[in-house]
Amino acid sequence: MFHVKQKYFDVLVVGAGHAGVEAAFAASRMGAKTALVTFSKSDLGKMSCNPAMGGLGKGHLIREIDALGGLIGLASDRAGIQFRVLNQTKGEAVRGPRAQIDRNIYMCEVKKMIENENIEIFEDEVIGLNLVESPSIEKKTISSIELLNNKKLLCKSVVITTGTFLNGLIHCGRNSWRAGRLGSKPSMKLAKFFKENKFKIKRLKTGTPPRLVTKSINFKKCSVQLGDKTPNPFSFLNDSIDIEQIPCHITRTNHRVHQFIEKSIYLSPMYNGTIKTKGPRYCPSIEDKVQRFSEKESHQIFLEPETRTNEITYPNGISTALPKTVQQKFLKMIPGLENVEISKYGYAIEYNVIDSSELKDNYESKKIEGLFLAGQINGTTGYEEAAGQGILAGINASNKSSGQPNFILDRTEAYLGVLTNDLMKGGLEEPYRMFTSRAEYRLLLRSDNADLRLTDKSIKLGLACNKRKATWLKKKKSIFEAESMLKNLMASPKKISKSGISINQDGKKRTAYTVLGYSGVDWPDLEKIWPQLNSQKMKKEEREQLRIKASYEKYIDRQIAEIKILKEESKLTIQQDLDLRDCSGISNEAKDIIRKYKPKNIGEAARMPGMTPAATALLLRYVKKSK
Amino acid sequence: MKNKTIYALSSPYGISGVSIVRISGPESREVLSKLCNFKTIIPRRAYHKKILDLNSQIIDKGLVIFFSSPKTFTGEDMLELHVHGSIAVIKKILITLSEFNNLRPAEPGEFSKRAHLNNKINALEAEGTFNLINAETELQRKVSVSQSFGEHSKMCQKWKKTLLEISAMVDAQIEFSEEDESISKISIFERINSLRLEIEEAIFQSQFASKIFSGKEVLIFGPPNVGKSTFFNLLIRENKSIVTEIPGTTRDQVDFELQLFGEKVKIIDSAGVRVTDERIEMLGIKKTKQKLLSTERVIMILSPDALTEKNINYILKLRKNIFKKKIFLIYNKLDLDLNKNQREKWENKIPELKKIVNVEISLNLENDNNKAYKLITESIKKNLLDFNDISDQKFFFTELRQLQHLKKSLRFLNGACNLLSRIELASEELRLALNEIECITQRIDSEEKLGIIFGKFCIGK
Repeated sequence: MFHVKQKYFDVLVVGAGHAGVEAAFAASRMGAKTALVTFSKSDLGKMSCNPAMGGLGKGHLIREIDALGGLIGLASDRAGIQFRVLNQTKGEAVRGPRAQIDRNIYMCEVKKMIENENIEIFEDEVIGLNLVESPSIEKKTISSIELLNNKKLLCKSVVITTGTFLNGLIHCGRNSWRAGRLGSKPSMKLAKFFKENKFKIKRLKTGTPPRLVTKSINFKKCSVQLGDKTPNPFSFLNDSIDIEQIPCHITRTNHRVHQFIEKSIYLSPMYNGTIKTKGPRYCPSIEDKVQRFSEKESHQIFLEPETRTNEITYPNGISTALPKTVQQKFLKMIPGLENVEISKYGYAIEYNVIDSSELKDNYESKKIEGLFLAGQINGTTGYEEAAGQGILAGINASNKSSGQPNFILDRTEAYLGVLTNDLMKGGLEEPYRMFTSRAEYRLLLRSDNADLRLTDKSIKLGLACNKRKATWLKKKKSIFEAESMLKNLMASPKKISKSGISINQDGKKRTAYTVLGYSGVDWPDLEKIWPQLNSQKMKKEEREQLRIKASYEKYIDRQIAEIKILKEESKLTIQQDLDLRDCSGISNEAKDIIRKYKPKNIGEAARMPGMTPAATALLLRYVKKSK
Repeated sequence: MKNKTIYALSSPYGISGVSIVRISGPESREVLSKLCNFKTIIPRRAYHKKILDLNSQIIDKGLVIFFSSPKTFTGEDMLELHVHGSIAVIKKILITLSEFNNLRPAEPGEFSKRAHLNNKINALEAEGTFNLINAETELQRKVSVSQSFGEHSKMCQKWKKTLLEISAMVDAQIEFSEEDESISKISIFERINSLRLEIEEAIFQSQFASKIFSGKEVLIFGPPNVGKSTFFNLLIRENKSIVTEIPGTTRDQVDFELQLFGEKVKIIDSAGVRVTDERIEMLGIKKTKQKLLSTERVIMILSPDALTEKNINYILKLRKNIFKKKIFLIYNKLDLDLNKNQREKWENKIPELKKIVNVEISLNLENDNNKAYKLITESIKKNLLDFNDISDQKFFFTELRQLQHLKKSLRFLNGACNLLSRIELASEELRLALNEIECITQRIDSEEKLGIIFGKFCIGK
């Protein structure tokens, strides 16, 4: 051998977007020797599209990532310039924390946190992945990566998080050019690697609106949208936000705009046949809106500041790939934008994604040992979805290199589990984004209790920092004590109604916990009935978390019972000699999957890529029958 | 996994033209080759073959049909032997089958249970099959056919689709609250409400349906010695109740199920009501009065010789119970001399009688009663059987299990309606309602429930 000392890493992360930084951060926190490869250091934690974090389902994801020890929540809290909880008038389970983010501060914060870790950063391009055959497992294993400028890096596992860069193609009007995003080159070499290794590849599309020069906007013609009076932090480590909050504005499209876009639609690559791939249905371009909802006279446009200093405005709601001249013209027809200056034009981008049926539920490739994929490359859209996959892939890549078991969340315990489970089924037809409706156990998976659900796991993984550990253990103790106290205090309906709570006078005693769950009741009401609760020193969020839990008591109990049955079934072992020939109803494809991967139990089978819920149900019955 | 091939006689045990023995499971082929000396067989083709015992002695000659998995009733390999309907042949074949190592006799309903477990039929269809096998009347057959061949399942599918649509509307309110287009809560309420009404209606109609299978009860009621038992015997065309000229002959209740106009009807002859000291008769009268409370259909019989103060008072005492029923009246013994204006006399004493449809007849053991029979059955059809209730209503949920799921689903829908102001809870209630609807047709896993459904079947089905 030559005496060239090659660098070795436990975990190599390729790409430094929201998936990449979470993956690298988590792996490093867990003690893996970690490196991050990115085209440019200045791309670390870049927000390529809208300057906002969170929302419905997405805010839930941020809180879960934070509870696990990720960085998205912390960085957002420091960079947030307008915090607003969505669905404030609806129940707590479906409220979504959201914030406008100063994209520059966000990048700075992410960079700081990455630099605080012992993560080596390479500004370079990956031009190849080297694999070795391992005869024992009849599978290829990753051994090193080739960089364009630096040399070869040896590694145990690689996490690929290339976002839209894989074979990216930008469209704007009639022009199109290869790029990862505006101003960045695409990853063509990596795209070739996946093709050569026969990964199932799909092509998706997404888009972004033009960016506007803020001082050219006449905000007098727009309505103001303010944030919450008391901003709610994303991170469980923060009690409050003390950055000054700034307003957003709302304007609207009108009939003239729609008519003009309609007339120019043949110039849009989405409508003249240039782009045939599918974009996110839930985030339609203005061309789509005008075509698909032609009966609507007007669409909202949120004018969101991109930074605290507010030089550039992001017009949320009018993503477009129309030619520059058309963009210019229709923008000027919008109230407040009559004299608008455009700093960057909107565009659409087509990119390759790997069908996530290629992955195991730890985000590792089925084909290649040690190769992990996370983020938009798996067909998702959104920073939060990417970050969520990033942290899970980072944890698992780290576990892989240290020989620890996989870390898998299931859909009954976290939105991260819902995300993973949905993805691993494969066959996405459009970019996947999170919704609260995707979670069957929505009332359990609330954003307020993400720490309760996940922080113990984070501590066990060695991911949580000392502060998080201490904060959580204290909170946990306080909440558990208070809950058992509330459940032991009883009072008659007569006594309860004396304190002004209207209650059915049925003579049945209620616990303080039950009473706390009644709508309109809060802690001060309880203290009137049970003065001893006064001595219970609890933080505001702790009291609130208990109150929310109590208010869903009846439903939560039912959901927990349902989950218990599910879990018992999923533990049911599958006989290794199970003869599937007589198991009619299950497709041959599903039978092949079971034969090939030999799942130990129903739960494992259910998570096998390609196993549909229907096939799992059939298998469950067959296994039961054969016992 | 052993003993997983089952066999049973699928036709009645006894003398008949043909008897059918069915075998289901992976050993079916083996049985075929041993019993019929077959090497290769084309599935679904009928062969006329000698059927041999394990010593190659001929048992019988008959039709042999082999069905290849998975396109069979149970989803497994199946074999049917059509042999002569002889007790000796059946016995010999069943003994021969029992000599195979991996064969065992089927449990009741096991063929259907396997069909269900192999996704050939859903729970609703299985229950329909059971009802069809047991159907005796035309209406029972119609309802069972609708259950077993998918009409009911389609109804559930429709409800499921509606529920999914409503859930989507509710969830849109949660997910897209920032968008300026919103679906009004009123339209959501209206959609839930109309679904709720549909399910309520189905539950309501199903109450009638249970009578299609259990039969409608008709109580023959009246004072002693007005001819109730004569009437009963005429109706059932059998001399079942003892008839004498002594008042109070019928003491215990006697009932009989018969088919009238395609419906199952249970006719009950009862002890005539009067004040008496006789202990056994008293007990009989008590039973009559209890039946009068629980039953909905009554034929009251009166006769001129029963027109006494005591009888009139007794009937007046029970008037509240009697006259709210579906009822019609027979004035019997027209032939008696004292007949003159029997009807007016009764109506003067008991004014409620004026409102009731009546027929005047004279039942006599010696007479040819065909005319009276026709008159009476027509009256029963017209006044007691309310055909309009059921003839065009196809969607009856006859099983307790089905009704329980429907009722639970209704409860969750009510919850959703009441919780529209807490939209995420409304969504949860809708999810639970959907689960219940799915339960009606879904595949059933729990052994206990499977037992309930399939345990009722006769062996060979």
